[in-house]
Amino acid sequence: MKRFNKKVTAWRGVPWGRLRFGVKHRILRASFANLFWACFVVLAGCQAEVPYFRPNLVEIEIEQDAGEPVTEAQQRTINETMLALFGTPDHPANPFPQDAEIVDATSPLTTFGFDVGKLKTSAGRVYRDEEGNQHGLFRLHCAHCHGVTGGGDGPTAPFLNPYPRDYRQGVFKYKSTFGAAKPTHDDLKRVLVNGVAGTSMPSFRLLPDNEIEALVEYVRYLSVRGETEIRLIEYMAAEGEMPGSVGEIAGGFPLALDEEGIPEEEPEEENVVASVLYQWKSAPLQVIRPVSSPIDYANPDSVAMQASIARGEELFYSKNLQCNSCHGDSAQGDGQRDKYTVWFKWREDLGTNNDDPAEIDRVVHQFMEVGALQPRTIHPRNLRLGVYRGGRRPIDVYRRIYSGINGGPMPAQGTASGIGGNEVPDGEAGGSIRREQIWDVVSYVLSLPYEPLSQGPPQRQGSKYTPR
Amino acid sequence: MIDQRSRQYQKRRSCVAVRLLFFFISVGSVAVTGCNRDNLRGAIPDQAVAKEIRLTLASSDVGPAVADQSASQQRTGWGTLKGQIRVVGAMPPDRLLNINKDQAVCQPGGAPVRGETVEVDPATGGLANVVLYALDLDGENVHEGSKAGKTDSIFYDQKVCRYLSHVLPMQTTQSLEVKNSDTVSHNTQIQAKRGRSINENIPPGSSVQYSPGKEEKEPISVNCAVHPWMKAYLLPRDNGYFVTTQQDGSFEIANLPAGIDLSVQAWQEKLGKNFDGIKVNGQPATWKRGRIALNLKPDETVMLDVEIPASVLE
Repeated sequence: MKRFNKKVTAWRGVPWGRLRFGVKHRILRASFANLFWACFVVLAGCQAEVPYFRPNLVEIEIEQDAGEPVTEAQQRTINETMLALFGTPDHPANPFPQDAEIVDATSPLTTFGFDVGKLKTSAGRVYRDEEGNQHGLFRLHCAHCHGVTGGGDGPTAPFLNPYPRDYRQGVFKYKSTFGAAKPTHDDLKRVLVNGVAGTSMPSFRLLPDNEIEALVEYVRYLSVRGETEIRLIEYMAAEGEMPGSVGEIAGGFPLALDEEGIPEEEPEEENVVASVLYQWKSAPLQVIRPVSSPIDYANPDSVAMQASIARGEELFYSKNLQCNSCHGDSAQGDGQRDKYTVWFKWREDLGTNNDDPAEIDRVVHQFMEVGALQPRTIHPRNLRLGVYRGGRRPIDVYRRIYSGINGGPMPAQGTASGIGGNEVPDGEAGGSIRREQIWDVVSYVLSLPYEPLSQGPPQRQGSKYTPR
Repeated sequence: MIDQRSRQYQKRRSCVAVRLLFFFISVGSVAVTGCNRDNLRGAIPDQAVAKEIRLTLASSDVGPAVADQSASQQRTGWGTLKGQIRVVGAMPPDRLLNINKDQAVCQPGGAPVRGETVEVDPATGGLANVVLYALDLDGENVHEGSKAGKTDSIFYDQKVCRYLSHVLPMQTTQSLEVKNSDTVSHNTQIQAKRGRSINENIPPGSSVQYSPGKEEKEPISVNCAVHPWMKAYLLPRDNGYFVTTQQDGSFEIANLPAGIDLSVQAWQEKLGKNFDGIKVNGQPATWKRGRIALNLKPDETVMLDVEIPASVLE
């Protein structure tokens, strides 16, 4: 203590004014430098963080609210299983390790899950290798909105309207397959190449094709991973144990495929990963093939088109379709805005049994504490804007009307039996209207932005500074 | 002057030392932990355990088997489960539904429409629409009459913008004929967790066939996007051991296997599976996630009188 005192007094005893020139500045600079580094260390911490996947705490919270809590030990078991099966954001893994003896390289009938080569290009840190290939594609292009875990909860997500897609439910909206089926590979690629008009999802058309393919594979990987995790959580919450041994959860591979790559048999329930992948692999069976259109969309001014638009308008407001009940009598999307999508089903369930706004507020905050975003109701599309999220080709609008939108309230006007298109006779197809009539509704919807009502107020005629 | 100053400095010496010590401790602790703590990390997995699981998979072993809960018990006969579920205490009426569409059809005469979440019979206090079903029974433990495989079609109607069966258990092999008896379109959205989901528009007067495909562990919701207040529940099960309580709260499941440990699950729309603390036959019972454990004797009828206090359901 005495020595310490001596130093301190000695230091403070030195008057600033009497120091040699430059020493004061050197001392001050050194102090500021020390202060800067001290702040840096304080803010960064001494531990180096390895990127990790966040567990689906919102799903655990849903189960907890339903009276089926998942204890911390059970959560740890699930997280360890997920880590073992799927790896980390830096090192993705195929759920079932590829045993060279089991894989018959020449047989087209086997599949193990993911193309790990593509996953390795998308995963991990961002850098360019010696040949100029870009690595870390997901983190470079996608993670800031979609999140490292693919949960639609990246740092930018709270500021976007609509929110980025949460892949973990395995539900995708804009696809060519019917109902609750998974999107095909081409559907995902189309979303990446075209973007989603009217949202913050940009187009990645300028990326080389191999990079887009790698990203599509990684999105599928994150979706399968997320859905596996949700199934494990649900089973654990309901039964208090895992659905089977780890070998069973990751088992069921290789999936036997036929010549077109469609699985022949559905896996057992305890083969969780295989069941999820089975849905992805059998998606091409559910593609909606439209019936031939009686009108030629290349000639919008033709008489046939005008007749089709008139028929479509009648159908739009008919009792059979009642499109105006949600899209509004003026088709501006103001008919009904009370529903939530499947990504906010917890908020939907909350609203049906609760009237007390304070209670709803409390539960919403409870969910936001575990990472949920602020819930928003889903708004039916304003059809007068000419912005179509799922694509603006006539076939895209046909598919939206035929199958509805998965994850949202938009219903299907067609049925699963009619997806074969021309090969299925009208009698077998069912649905609320004949499939040819869907084309009339498509014509009407595509013509709406050109109606005088959609054009807005008259344009300014110009002034002396901007003559027209 | 220097003497005065040095005396002041001497007095403050210890305060400075203590302050500096606190400063270094706080900086040190924050430096070690850092400012960016992720509170959404969840239960951090043990890397060593995960590595071991991966090695187990790689060696193509089946892995540590999950302990088989069902000890080899022999069924000794058939028994019956009966009872009544009542609400004790005064229940306020169900919430008013906000009919904001198609009022001519959905709210004829302008009468207020109430929800069906908690349906208490004013005469007996019985709670309707509680579904009870037996879990984990298959093979020879299932009676002939309740075996899986019934293929008949159940008529499922909606009128005046209400589903006429609010909670309906059914077998996975049965099919629903979902009819729309109103003069406006309804789109019936059935959100299944494991089986087939549909979301199809049903024009007035027509119907749509729905088959569940797989059994569910708890009821799945049926709702309408056009009329958001419409809600009902469906429970597809493989075998036939299910029942919903009647208007007066009574229920009966016949021909349950006797002599083996049974697990009967209860579910109510408001409570979900949360039956903790509910008394059965006047005694506090052990409900585990809404399940009650039973072991019937052959030809025995077990009576369960479940009393739910009104405060729990509010």
